[in-house]
Amino acid sequence: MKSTLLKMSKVCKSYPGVKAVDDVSIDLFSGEVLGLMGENGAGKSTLIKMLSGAEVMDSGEIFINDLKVDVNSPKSAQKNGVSVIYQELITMDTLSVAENIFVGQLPLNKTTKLVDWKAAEKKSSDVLSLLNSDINPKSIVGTLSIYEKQIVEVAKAIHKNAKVLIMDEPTAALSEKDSKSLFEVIDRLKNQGVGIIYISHRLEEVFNITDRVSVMRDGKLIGTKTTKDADKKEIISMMIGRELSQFFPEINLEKKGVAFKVLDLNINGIIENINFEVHRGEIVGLFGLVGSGCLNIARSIIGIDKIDNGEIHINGKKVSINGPKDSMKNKIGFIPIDRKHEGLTLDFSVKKNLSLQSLDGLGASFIINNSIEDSIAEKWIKKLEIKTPSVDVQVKNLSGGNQQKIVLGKTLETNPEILVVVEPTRGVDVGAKMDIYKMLEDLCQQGVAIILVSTDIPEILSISHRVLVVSTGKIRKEFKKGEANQQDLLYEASLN
Amino acid sequence: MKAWLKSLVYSDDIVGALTIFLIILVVFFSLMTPHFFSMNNFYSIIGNIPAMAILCLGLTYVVLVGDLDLSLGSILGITAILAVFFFKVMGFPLWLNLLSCVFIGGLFGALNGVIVTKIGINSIITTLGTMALIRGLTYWIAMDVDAMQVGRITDPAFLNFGRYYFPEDSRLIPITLVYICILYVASYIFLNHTSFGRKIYAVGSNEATARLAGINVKRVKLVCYILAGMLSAFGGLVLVAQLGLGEAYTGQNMILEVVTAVVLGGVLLTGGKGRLTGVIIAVLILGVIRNGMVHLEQVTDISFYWRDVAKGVILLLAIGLYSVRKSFNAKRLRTRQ
Amino acid sequence: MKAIGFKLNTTASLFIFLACLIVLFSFTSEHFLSYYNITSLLTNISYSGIAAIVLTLIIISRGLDISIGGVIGLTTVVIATLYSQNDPLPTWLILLIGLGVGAIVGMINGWCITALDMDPIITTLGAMAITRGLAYVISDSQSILMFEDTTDYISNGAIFFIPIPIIIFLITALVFSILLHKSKFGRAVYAIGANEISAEFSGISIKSKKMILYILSGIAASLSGIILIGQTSVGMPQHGLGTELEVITAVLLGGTALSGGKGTIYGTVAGVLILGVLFNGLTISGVRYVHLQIFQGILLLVAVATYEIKTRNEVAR
Repeated sequence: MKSTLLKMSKVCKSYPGVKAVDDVSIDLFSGEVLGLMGENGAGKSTLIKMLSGAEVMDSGEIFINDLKVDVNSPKSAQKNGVSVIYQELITMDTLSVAENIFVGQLPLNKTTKLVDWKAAEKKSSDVLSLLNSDINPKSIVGTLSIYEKQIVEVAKAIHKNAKVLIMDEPTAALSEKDSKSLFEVIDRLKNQGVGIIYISHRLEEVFNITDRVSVMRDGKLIGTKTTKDADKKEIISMMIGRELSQFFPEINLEKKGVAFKVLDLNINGIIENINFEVHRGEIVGLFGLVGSGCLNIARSIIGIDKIDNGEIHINGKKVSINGPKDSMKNKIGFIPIDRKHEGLTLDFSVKKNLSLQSLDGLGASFIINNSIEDSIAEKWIKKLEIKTPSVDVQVKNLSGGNQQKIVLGKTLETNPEILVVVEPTRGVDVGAKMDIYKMLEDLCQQGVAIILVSTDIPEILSISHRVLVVSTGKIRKEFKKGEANQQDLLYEASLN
Repeated sequence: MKAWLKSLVYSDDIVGALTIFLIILVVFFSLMTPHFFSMNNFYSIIGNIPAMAILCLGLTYVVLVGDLDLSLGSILGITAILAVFFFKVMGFPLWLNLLSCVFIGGLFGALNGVIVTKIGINSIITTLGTMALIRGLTYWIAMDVDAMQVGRITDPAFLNFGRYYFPEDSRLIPITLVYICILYVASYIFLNHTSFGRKIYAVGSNEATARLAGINVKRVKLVCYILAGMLSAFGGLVLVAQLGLGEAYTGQNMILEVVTAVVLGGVLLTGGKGRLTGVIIAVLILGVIRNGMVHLEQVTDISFYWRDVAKGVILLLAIGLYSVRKSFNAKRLRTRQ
Repeated sequence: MKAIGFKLNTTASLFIFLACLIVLFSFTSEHFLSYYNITSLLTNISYSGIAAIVLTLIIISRGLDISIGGVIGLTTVVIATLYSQNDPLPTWLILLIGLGVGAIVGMINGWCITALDMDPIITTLGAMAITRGLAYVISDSQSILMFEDTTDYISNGAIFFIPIPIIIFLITALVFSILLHKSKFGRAVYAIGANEISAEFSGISIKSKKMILYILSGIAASLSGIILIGQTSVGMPQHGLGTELEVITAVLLGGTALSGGKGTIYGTVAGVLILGVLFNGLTISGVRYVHLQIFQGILLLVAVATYEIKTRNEVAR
């Protein structure tokens, strides 16, 4: 008889300007796997953070085994039996498996008070064999594969008597074989009575491994279905829900020549046989979920990720790109995924950020020509309608939308002919979104070839002239504009 | 192939490589010079390393936890002066002298630790500052107290602390070797077999995860700094006993060699990894080089000052190797995003 | 103490503090404001100030150079040795070679730090050992006398009653001020220190910029060495011992943050002046050298602690 292990009741969490979690109630039975699905920004991470103690909820209650608990820090979460296996593993790589599992609580010999290594190793082996793993407890964790490291984290959680285990995109970095092994591990955990919350974008997986699925959208819980009674397309429409509005500009394509071509791009173990081309004035969308390889493709185009095989052709000529400087020389512009850490220098002013990529153009001599810099700043503030009290304000004080516009302006100042844009409107308000789309439209008309990497489905469907679906490092399918709806796109990307 | 690469990056095989290097050095100097390979000379080498070895042990604690302590040479220096002061001016018996100096060393270590953990200043700048501060104090004490002008100690009981040999007649084992053994073995047990010792490694390996696991990171670091200070003080006493002399400049240039030995010995600068065996062999290597170069100078024209150059080169090579290993590892850990 | 600390946030406050010090010392000692003392003070400031100016850029780029002292020692030894040969090379060439010493050391530092991605602190620590050691090797631990007109003039001469070293210092400060605050290179240096990843994405070539900085630092140290030779008329391997601490203290006192991206040349100038005036004033007022050393350590710690606490308060707001 399954008992209610966890109950989150009417949980709310807001940040300035956005309700991240809006009156969500979920429950988890012992020995069950509950899938948690939803698009980027649906609220899954925030919900989980409140359970794991990384964030404190504004209102609501959490019950574990029918006892109300206060989870206000990671430590209290652990005490209450909640453990999280994050995507970015936090193992202590220089220490052994046994030490990672027992960190801070090594078993001691009763008389000598010294560490009882034998006991630590035995208990580690016990926990590991529970997970069907034969990892040697003495191995140094740094030498293990990502899968093995995950198992170590799971073992650590089990050892700490985790009743609720949260797994966040656990198979994102795993091979098929390792994923299968992980599923067997999950089965065993179920038999132990552990309750698992399984966050994943991958439909197949979720349908394979979960007992029930909860779907979130825009901070709300849309519904929870028993997996075996559910239909994949139904789940996807629950995730998407909203209508495709006339929100996006219609960007007309007058097909001109091929500006950019990628041939047989390969990064061993990451992306395989990537081939596509982009015409002048065309927007090609790359759509893939977490761990699909989309980001790697984008980064390899500008030389941040090193290619093992393959060629890049610009206007018919092969080019070699070894880093951002080369890509700039070849007139490729890049809007990185993380504007705060990769796109902007937060302590610099608006003016200084806008000119950072074009320092050479700030006058003929080695001295910066202030009037040229000022005019650049004015130009882009006007063109992109950047809202800032002055050009000398530090960029970190601006809103996300304005920050993104500054990244855009900085890149566009270099007059790129090819533009790689990653998540252009993530964390950006509606008004700024429209401005950015308008800019992309203008660029198309000027003949810029644009590669758009985005997980915002309505966005990528509406703006792109073609969408390439990427999953597990390969391009799976191509949709021309109008050929696919939101469900189709998500479905294709969720396969494999 | 991949497994081999992995083990190269994370293995502890450095001890083997170091031992081989040490043997090569011994062979080299034995062949090149007539008097290197002799019992007398080996005793000379061992006689020169105690203070260094003890300081390296102290620094190891701090590096294991992820920081750096540049003030250890100064703590040794002030201890040297204080030892003479306590002995000559205050008339302390040996045991009281020892206790007081080690206590004061611990206090200075605590000063470092508090500044780094509570105020949050970078450990390098902190210990750079305390290094100057303590050295200045040392000179002040040395100059202000008249008896200090000649910092000699002639009392046999005191001198025996550093110069005694076991057993009385055959004089085989120097007492300093005993100190090194006791301290290193005790540290070995502490670091590898006690709960707290493993917490030191945990904090050095991944401070955030250690904190999540409930380890009091500040306390662990503070203890390491205090231990480093106490050990440096003890090393200072041994040095004074050996030399019969305690001057204000004692230990002034030691810290570079100490850092070199610790880095060479395989202790990871980012923390969480390091074997005492490696450290002691590295100390021996540097001691052999120092001694060997003196002999080399007598036979060839090679100035023995090249040994300082050699030490710097070794430091650079050691850290260069580490950087290469690091980039290897980064390549291995690429993930699909 | 905290009140004084919060005042130190602008360079203006630093200069006010400097003025107070000058007033204070003019009362505690009758010799403080004498021509002789002032020129001596200014020359000493120039000696460490030149290296401090360049170190400012390095620290802004999130690096560090501890090898300054060793380069000074090596440079003085090399120059003195070359000069004392039978039929020596022309002086200007010898001095050029001296500067070359610093440039080569800087190049090696720069290569290790950029191409091999080695930690700057340990690298320059090793460089310090190597240069110091080489100085001992070349000089065989002897002091080498060098009575020579040009170096004597550089260190002890004056133009319109202004000592030449201070002119060199001011020119250096001016040049680097333009370089750091007004040039494209300087903007790139700030960008690298503030966010190296963003700087790289913006097409700034991190490696070449850093390499240039370390070479400049080496040359600056050599220049300090040349001034020192003129002052002391001797080249010896012990020259420059302890200078790196002085220089780092001056730079950090002036408000440059170790974490990079922040700092000004005038702040460093203020820091150098404050440190110089403090030491000179205290010495001439009868405070002993050993007390000064203690003071230097405390000053470094207090300055860094103050800025650290201030930054933390700002972030918390």
